[in-house]
Amino acid sequence: MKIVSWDPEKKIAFLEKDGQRYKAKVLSHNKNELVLYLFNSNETITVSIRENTETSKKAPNQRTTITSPIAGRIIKIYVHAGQRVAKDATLLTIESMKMENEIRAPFNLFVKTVSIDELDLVKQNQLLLKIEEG
Amino acid sequence: MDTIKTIVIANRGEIALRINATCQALGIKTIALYTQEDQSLSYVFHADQSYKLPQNGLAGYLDQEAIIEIAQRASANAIHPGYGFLAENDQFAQKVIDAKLIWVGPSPSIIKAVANKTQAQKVMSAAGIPTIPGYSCNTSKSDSFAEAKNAADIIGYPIILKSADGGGGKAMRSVSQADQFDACWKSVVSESQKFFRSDNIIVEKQLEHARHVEVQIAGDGDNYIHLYERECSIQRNHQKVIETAPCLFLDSKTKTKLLDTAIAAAQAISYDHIGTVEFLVTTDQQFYFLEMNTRLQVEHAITEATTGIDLVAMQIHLAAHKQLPYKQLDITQSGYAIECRIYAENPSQNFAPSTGTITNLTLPNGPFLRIDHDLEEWQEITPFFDPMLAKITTWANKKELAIARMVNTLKQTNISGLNTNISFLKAILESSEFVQNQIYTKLLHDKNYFQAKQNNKPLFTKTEYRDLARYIEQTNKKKQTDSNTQTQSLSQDLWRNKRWRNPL
Repeated sequence: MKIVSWDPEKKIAFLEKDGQRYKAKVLSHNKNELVLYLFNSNETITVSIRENTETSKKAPNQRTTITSPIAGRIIKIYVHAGQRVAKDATLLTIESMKMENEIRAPFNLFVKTVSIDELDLVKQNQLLLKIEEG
Repeated sequence: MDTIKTIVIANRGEIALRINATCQALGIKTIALYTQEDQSLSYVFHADQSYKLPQNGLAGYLDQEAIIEIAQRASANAIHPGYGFLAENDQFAQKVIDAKLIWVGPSPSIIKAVANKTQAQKVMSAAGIPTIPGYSCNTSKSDSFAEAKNAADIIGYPIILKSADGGGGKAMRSVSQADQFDACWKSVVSESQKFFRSDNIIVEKQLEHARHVEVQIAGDGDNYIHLYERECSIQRNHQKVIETAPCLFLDSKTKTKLLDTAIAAAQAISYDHIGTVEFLVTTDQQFYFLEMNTRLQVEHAITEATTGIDLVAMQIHLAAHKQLPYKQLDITQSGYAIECRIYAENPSQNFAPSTGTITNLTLPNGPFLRIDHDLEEWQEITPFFDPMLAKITTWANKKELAIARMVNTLKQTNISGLNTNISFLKAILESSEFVQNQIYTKLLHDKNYFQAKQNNKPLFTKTEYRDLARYIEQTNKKKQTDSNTQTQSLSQDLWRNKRWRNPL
């Protein structure tokens, strides 16, 4: 692959491979990942740039938090700190885009702290509960 | 007879743009309304004037007093509600009329007569129109839960639980077995109260493999016409996903009977606007009245494509002149149209709503293609409104070609920065069920069309992408002003710099 040109203002790169020309727009770029839009195939591609050593260092499955999978408003919290919850029990309900979405326990867990209040607006990946597995 | 000179469009996004287009083409001055969140959307700037609503989010567009006050301040003489929000609110319609403004919709008494689904079924049943056996109960009564559960047992599972005053797939759940009843009941009751301020819940028999077929009608209180049917059987959680016109499943006898029945329904309530009569059609070509929608529908574009009639222009005409602009003989149905709704949702995460900033937007062009949207790059998609991002409509003289055009359009559509259902739509259109017309309302529930990974051979390897990333990083660091015209081989450049030899 050859980089024919790169326009840092428009974030557009022209590439060449096997005699074919490609046009790509960089949507975001940081230390960890490169997200680009390929005009030829009309795809959005996310490439992790860090070498694999980084990810393997991460702790195994032991999860200590429940984070919000979506942005929205907390409309009901069914659990409180100090409560033991069985797998699949509803933890809380988040309203997003006019739909109610239930967040369920992914496994048996113990609620250490509840980090949000009812009617709070939450962002995606925002911390909801601190937990202990089991 | 009145003339609409200035109109307030009490809605947002793509439908506000859609209504704006017809109104401006008719020489009507348009007023857009917007909330804090929507202040940079393009519909705000396409209108002749725009006014900010005092409240934020959903509440802004539901603020009846503020909307009427703005209409008066702007010297408008009509209000078009679009769909959703206040479109089927008879109290708002009455307030608009009381304020000496033209209401672009049916008379408030008619909206009220069919707004409640139980009420509507009673009216239609009395007019000899077949309805689905069901039971309605009021949740303000303490024993309503037991009553409803008992009704479900008598009717027999599968059943549907829905708000009698709902719509748009909200506050509605399919219950296939008794042990799911409790959970479904809880969410339907809560959504019904929140979104429709209603305590009335219907327990209804779910007809197996039934199709959703609806008829676009129009009336002026004396004369009634239909603009043929639409099939909306491709639904997910009672939310329409793909709609087509015509419904090729209907045999000609059933089709005539269905269209006649829709007209009879309009007649039964002296309907005086454009509207939609929804039916469920069973595998043996029997049909049952479901509900009536007293507004412009999301999927109106496929009727426009197959009849060549601008439905918003018809609404304006009916509101101003109180008389139908067409006779039944003026209306013909030709070709085949498909509409796909692009939703901001993640099919790989059980269709969870997806929010974020649009970082790339590619919308194609083509023959017989229409894309209704109000999107642009760097627009923020918030969790406050409906997840529908855009509607794509294709038309062709034959179904196969209309599908091919739609699939190709979806292939050329890209919305980056958040998740959408585009690949899911494509998979449905290419499925044998869709192509061979074996669809029904629970198809997406019974069969999973979502494919997590596409088998396309990647255009570039991971190493090549990493090379590109490093190159970009390097040029950024060097801050070369002439970098945009530079041509050089990447590998050479990289190896000149020692830093790249060591992994990070």
